[in-house]
Order: sequence, then C-alpha cells, then structure tokens
Amino acid sequence: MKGYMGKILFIDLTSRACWERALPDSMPAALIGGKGFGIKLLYDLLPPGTDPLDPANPLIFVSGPLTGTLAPSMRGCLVSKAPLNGMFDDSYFGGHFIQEVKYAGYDAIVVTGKACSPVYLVISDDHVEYRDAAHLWGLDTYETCDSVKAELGDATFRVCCIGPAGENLVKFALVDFEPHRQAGRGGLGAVFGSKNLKAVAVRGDKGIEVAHRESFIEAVSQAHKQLAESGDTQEFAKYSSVSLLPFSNEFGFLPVRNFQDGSTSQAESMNAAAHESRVWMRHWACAGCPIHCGKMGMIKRGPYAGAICDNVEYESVGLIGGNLAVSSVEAMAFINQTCDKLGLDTISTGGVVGFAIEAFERGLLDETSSGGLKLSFGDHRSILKLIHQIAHREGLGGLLADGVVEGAERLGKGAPDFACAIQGLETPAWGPRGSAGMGLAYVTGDRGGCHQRGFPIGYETSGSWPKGEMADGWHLEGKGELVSWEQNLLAALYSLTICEFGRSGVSYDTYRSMLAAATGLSLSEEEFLLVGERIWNLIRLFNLREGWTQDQARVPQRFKEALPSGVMKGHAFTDEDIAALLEQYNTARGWDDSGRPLARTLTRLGVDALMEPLFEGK
Amino acid sequence: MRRLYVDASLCTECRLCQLACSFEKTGAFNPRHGLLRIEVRKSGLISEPIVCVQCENPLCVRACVVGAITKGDDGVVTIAPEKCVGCGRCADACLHDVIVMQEKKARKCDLCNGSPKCVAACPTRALAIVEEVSQ
Repeated sequence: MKGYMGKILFIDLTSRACWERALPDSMPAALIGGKGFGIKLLYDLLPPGTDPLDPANPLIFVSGPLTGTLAPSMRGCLVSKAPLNGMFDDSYFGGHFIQEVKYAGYDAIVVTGKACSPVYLVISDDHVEYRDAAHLWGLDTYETCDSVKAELGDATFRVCCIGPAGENLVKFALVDFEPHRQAGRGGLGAVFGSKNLKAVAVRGDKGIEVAHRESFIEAVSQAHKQLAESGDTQEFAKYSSVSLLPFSNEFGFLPVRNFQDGSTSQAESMNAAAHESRVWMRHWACAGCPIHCGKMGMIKRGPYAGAICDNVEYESVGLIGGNLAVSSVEAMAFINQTCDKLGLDTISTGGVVGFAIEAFERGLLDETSSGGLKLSFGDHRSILKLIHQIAHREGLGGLLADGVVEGAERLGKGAPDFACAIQGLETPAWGPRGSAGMGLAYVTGDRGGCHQRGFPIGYETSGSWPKGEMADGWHLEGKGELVSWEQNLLAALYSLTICEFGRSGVSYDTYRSMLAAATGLSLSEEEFLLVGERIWNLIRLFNLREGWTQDQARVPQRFKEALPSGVMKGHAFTDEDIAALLEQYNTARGWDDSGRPLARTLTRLGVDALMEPLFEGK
Repeated sequence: MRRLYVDASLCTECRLCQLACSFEKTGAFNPRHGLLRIEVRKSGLISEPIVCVQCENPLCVRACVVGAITKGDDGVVTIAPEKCVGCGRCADACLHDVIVMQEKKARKCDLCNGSPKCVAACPTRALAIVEEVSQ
C-alpha cells in the first residue's frame, strides 16, 4: 500500500541478528500506523509481566503513512513499556529521524535484547551495522551526536541517542533526536541504557510514493492553507508553545513552587516576549513543517552567556520557570539545555526537583542528605547541581532518579502528599485543579497522567465541544463522554503521528483526505474515530495485563487542597469527584466499573481479532 | 536571466523545498533526492540552503566528457539524461555540491521552467526567484 514502506526491521542486540518482515496486510486499515502499530507490536512482543529494563522489552520506532511526505507536521513515535510507571508508553518526537527510517525502507524498527557492551547501531538502507560505543559512554547527547556523525563521515545521517541519565537508568531519562527534539516521557532513555544501546544512526535512499498524486497535493495545500489561516497556529509560529503561558497563569493551571500555587506574579518575565528579546534569533522547524514553532538562539547575558540553545517549550517554562521559580529566561534556557544534554525529561525533572526543594523547606531533607546542597526555589545554581546528581545517581540523585512517587515513598514522613504525579507520571504544566475534565484525563491516560492524551481544558474554558455545550471546570457532568471522545480522536490522530501544533490548524477532515490520497485508505469520520477507540481499548488491555488497576486512578493530596489563585481559585478534587468521573467514563467506554473493557465492547471494536498474535519474538 | 536567491536568515531547516523538489523530479519523497541541500552550522544556529546558481562559468559543463550538460540562452544549465553516462565528474566538479547522482544518472536544478517548486514550497520566503538586470 502506498504511503507505507511495507516492511518492519527487527534487530536483536543479544544475538546481533536482524531480520525483516513484511507489514501484515491487515494492519493499515485496522490501526493506521504510529500509536496503533506501536501497541500491536508491543502487545505481541513483550512477554507478559516483563520488567521494563529487561532485555526482552522491545524498543519500537514507528512512523505513520504520511510521515516523510509533504503532509505537514508529522512526527515519529517511540513505544515501549515505561520504566517510570510500568505502563504502555508512546513518546512522540519531531526532528528528522523517523523520516530517515522510512527513506531506509521501514515503517517501524523494533530493537530487543541487550548488547554485551555499549554499542551504537548504524542503519543505512537495508544494511545494519554494530559499532562499539565504549568511547561514547558518559558523553552528553550533543557530544554523542556530533561524534557519531563525525565517525560516519556523513552529516546526512540522523541520530538519536541517550546521555548519562539513560546510561544510569534514571527512570525519566529521555531519548534525544538531533537536533533539539526528544522522546521525553516515561523514561525510554533508560530502556536504551538497559540494552547498552547508546545511539542509533539512520539514513535512506528510498522515496516514499503516494497513491493519488494530484489529490494528495490538493489535500496538502488545504492543510497548509488551514495552518496559515489559524490564529492559534500562527501564535505557535511566532512565539512557540510558550504563547500558552498567559492563559495558564490567568486560570491557575501553571505549576508554581511544586504546585503549591497555580499562578505567579513573575509570569511576564517568563513570557514569549522575554524569550524573544533576550534569547531567540531565528525560527526552526521539524521535517516538512511550515509552522516553525522552534526557535534557535543564544544566551547573551549572565553566567550562562555564549550557549547556543533552542527555545524553552511551554511545558519546560512551566516546570522550570514556574515550578522551580527560576524566572530568569537565561537560567531557564540553560537548565532546559542541561536536561537535554544529560538526557533528562524536563517535565519529570521539574516535578522531581520541585518536590525535593519543598521537602528541603519542610525539613524532610537537609544538607547532609542532599550531598551538601542547600536547596531553595529560584536558586538556579543549586538546581543545576541537583540535576547533575540525578543524571549520575549521585548524592540526592539516588533518591530522586526513580521518579517522584518512588522517591517520596522512600522518604516517607508525609512526602507522598506533595509528590505531584498521577499514575506514576510527574504532572505536566497543566495542574488539574480548575478542570474536572483534566483530572479525569490524567487518571485515565494510557501512559499515565499526560496532558497530550486528552486536553479538556480548552473545551471547558470555551464552553463548547464538537457535540454541543460543555460545562466549565467546576462541573463533573459530560466529562466522561468528552474525555473518552477526545482520547479516541487523539489515538486515531497519533496513529498518523500528528503533532499537536499541526492539529491546532489542520482539520480532522483534511487529515483524513491526506491519508486517503496517500494510501487509498478512505475512512469516514466514524471509522477514523473507531480506529482510535480500538487502539485505546487494546492499550487498556495491555496495561491491565501488565498489572495496572483502577486503584492507580487517583490524584495526590496536593490536588485535593484548594487552588490558591487564578480564575479557578478554590477548586480542588475530592475522592468522590474522581469516583464519579470514573463511573461516567467507564460507562461511556463500555467498560466495567473497575475499568475493564466488556466483552461486547471488544467485539464491537474488533479488538478480540487484534489480540491474535501477528508477531513473535525470536 | 533568472536565478534562485537565498536568504539563509529566514531558513527554518524544514526541508519542504527538498521534499517538493524530489516529488517534482522523481515522483516520490526523499529530501536527499531534491536538487538543493541545506547546510547546518554553528551548533545549529545557522541553516543555509545551498542551491544551483546556474554559474556563469559552469564547472559541471566543463567536467562532462560526453557533452551532456549545456548552458542555454536563458542561462539555465541542464543535463540531457539520454547523453549522461553517470560518470559523476560533474558532481565532483560542482562548486556547491548540488548535483545528485541517482540510478547512474546525474541530475541538477533546471529551475522547473522558470517557476521552481522549492520556491513555492518555502513557507518563509528564504528562497526566491529573481530576474537579473543586465548592466
């Protein structure tokens, strides 16, 4: 089928074997690609109950049928069982890497096993080579990428790699995709580390064909027009995702000082205008994307002057600027870059460090237990030292490197009350207080409490969603239907590996038109949503199989305390709220009251057929 | 005479130019098959599209041993594919490394009959087509 390359590459690091398999004919129509292919491969290949850091846990790089074409804003997807919370994890990344995977001839690459010593993989069309990485072990992600490219003597290779955090199995270590893009959440860098895999370089000479050339170009032009005409998209184009800051700060969604507050008087010094005037120099874009939400620039003032860096995304501004109270744009950019280089997810790092500072302020930690660090909000020097400790599991890093939930449990003394994570994933820069829907999206998120698996905040604040009116964040009604609908929609869109910022302009109809023109796969709106619902149910079955129970669907004590400021001031969750939301949600999904899909739901969606294995481990 | 004009300060490295070029010239997508390239320098601070400037003294024409490359009256340097033997000397001689060898044939920018697809695809006007005024 056009749009697809028709092959999956399997690499086993233990035996150094690699083999190809034709993409099964049934997969495109049932699952589209991306997230859908990822869960199918993971469901089949992971032996049930496998530890995420076990060699048998597969690392799955997967593309979508529009990836690598002119279709705007397509990303790649890295799937595995997450070290951080033991759940399904699909982490999306921009840049240029996944496009090369397709040009090399593959829709997906699956890496299993464990090398006996550090290696990196070089994939050039259908040739796979192992190279020694002992001399790269310990290098940061920027140094690793530069070294790999220099060794290969070809700058057109695209490289992904881990930093020291991944090597040291930090449970929120990321995988860096040069330049400046990351598969950040869930700790997939630690899966690399557990396999002794430092980097993967890929390049390819094959072209991607589409089924209907003229209608494809027509649909792509329509998508570009919608992006150009969307006010939201143009905000991202000019000011990156940090353009969202004034909104979140006004309502009280911004994490401030370990989520003790939801807004700050410092917001103006952290906003887009501040970054633009002090750091940014030019726009930067991922492959095939006209939006250019990325910015390249240079730190010009202060102790970090001279560093060339990219922009700090809204999430990182929230978790570093707000949650750690580092309001200097320069310090924020440097901390952000330090996390990227060490290979740490900025969201989880901001959550974990914010927790540590609050614990220090409460006297639960002191200078002895923190390896001599005197921690306080806003002190970027001690924060940077702590971040290095985490990446190397030194000093206080030993306590924090397994995530805030595990760290808080080990610390005890009431610490779990202010460990801000939901389903084991450190909470992103949208505090749930002020949005009943967001709370529900977090407790039902397939990879944990993630803002990208449903974002009801937008519908609640605008008062409407595609099916009519929507109650505001104070009210519970309608939220089960809203959240399940958006999760299904996003699962379908993520099977195309879309970017959220592209979605801010491109209509769902246009995505379907591009898919139909590229592949010949013509799906009605209803069928498209059904693919998403099918994927979401298969992931729930996977999570249940791996030990997830609905007991994990709860919020920490911090989010049960009233929000101190902002438009939504006073809002908090109760256990009764969560129970009522889950009841609505499970009903809307056709699941039982413990969150298990009913047999008739699985039959309706064709999930039972999908559970028949298509892939086997070697 | 028409030429491609580059303002690298506006380039975002999105490679839409290369994708559009590869689709126009090969019917499939791969930026590597586009007839222009992007050079990234200074730790990623700078990305510069490198294009064929249809040289006044085209070294590719001089390098070709079979006379497959000619500079036309309109100033555009083109390769006759039926004459090209795929030796790659033109690519070796190219000042800007923008001649692509593929399936034993050399390919280069021919300005798409005066309206280049790369220019149309560029979202930031980092690429433009300009008419040179003779003195």
